Amino acid sequence: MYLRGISYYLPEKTLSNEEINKDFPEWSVDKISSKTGIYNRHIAANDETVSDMGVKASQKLFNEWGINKGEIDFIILCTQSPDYFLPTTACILQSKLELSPAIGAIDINMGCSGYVYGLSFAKGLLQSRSASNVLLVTSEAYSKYIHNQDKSNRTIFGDAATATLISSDNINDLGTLKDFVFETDGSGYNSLIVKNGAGKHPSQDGVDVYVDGVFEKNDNNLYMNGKDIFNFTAERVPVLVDNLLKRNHLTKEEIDLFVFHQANKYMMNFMRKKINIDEEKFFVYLENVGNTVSSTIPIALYHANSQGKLKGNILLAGFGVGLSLAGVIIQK
Amino acid sequence: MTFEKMIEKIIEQFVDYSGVQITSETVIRSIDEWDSLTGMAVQLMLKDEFNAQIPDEDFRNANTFGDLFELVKQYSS
Repeated sequence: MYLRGISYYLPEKTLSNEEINKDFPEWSVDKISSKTGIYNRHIAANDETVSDMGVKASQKLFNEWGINKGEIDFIILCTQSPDYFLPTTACILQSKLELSPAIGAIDINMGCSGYVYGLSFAKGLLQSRSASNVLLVTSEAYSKYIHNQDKSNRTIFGDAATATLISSDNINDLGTLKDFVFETDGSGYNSLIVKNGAGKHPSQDGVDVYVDGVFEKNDNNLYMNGKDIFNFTAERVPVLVDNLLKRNHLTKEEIDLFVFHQANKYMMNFMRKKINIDEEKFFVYLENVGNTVSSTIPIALYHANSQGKLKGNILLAGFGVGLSLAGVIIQK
Repeated sequence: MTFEKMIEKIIEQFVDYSGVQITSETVIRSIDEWDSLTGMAVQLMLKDEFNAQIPDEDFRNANTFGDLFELVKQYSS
C-alpha cells in the first residue's frame, strides 16, 4: 500500500483578493490575506466540469511520475459536484483517459475528509487483491454552487483536481498507508449544504435571504454555517488526532509532519495551538489555491514532497461537510 | 481569573495585534482585528480556558470588554 505519485490541476481562471475587494469594498485586500492565508483561488470555466479537471490532473500524474496508465485497474473519484446526477463520473473518466475496460470505477460523495476516505478504500482494494494500482482522483468545483453575493464562501473556496496512484508496488514510494480512523456526525448535515435540486427539495425555488443588508443564503446555493463548522472542528479534530495516534501506537512527538485539511489559515492556526503542534511541523499551503475541499490534503502533500518534508510519520486529517472526519498516518 | 488575563488570552486570538491597550470600556467591535471568525475563536477560547460557556445571544450582545468579563464570570461559575 504505497503512494506512488501525486499531481494536481488548477483551472486557468483565477479570483484574486483584489477582485473580491472590488465586489465587497468593506473587505480590504490585506484583511482577506492575513486572516485566511489566501491570495488567489482558481475557478473552473463555465464549460469545464469535474471530469475535465480530473482528466487534466490524471494526465499530469502519468507524465510527472512516469506512470503507465495501462497498469491502472481501479478509479475512485471523490466529488460532490459531479458532471451528472447519473451516471457515475468515474466511468466518464475511464473513457476520457482511455483506460482499460477491465477496471472498476466508482464515485464517492465526500468533501473535506474525502481524500482520506479515498485512501482507505484504495488500501482495502489492494489488501483484498481486487486491484493492484488504484487511481484516486479528487475533483471539486464548489464555485458552481456558490452565490455571487456570498462573500465568505467566494473568499475561502477554490476549484481544483488531484490524482494519486496507490499501488501494491513500492516504486517512487512517497509513503506507506498505516491505520485509519473515522468519525461522523450526521446531525450537522445542514451546517454545510446545497439544499435544493436533489431528492429532498427538487425545486430550485430558493430566494436570496439578506440579514441586516448582508447576503445570508439562497437554498439553491452552497450554504455554510461557519460557526457550526468551526465549533465542530475545534471540538472533534483534537480527539481525532488522539484516536489516530493511539490506533497507530504513536505519540504526538513521533509525528514529523501534520497535514490537515486546509480550511483557512486562521482556523488551522487555532487548531494547531489548541492541539499544541510546533509551527514547523504543521504544513500550510493555501496562498494560491484556497480551500479546495477534498483536494487540499493531496495538494499540500505534493508541495511537502517538493520541499523534502515527507519524512518519517505524517499525520493526515480531513474534516468538514457531513459532518465528517477522517485521519490516517503515512510512513515514509 | 482577572480581566488582564482574559484580555491577554483574547489578544492571542488576534493576528499580529498592534492596536491600543484594551480596557474594560473598549468597545469590542471597535477593534480592527475583530470579525466574525475572531469572535468564534474567542468564544471557544473562553470555554476552553475559563470554562465559560457563553450562549451565542449573550456573546453577541456584549458591547465592551467589561461586559464580556462579566459574562465570563457569570457563566464560569
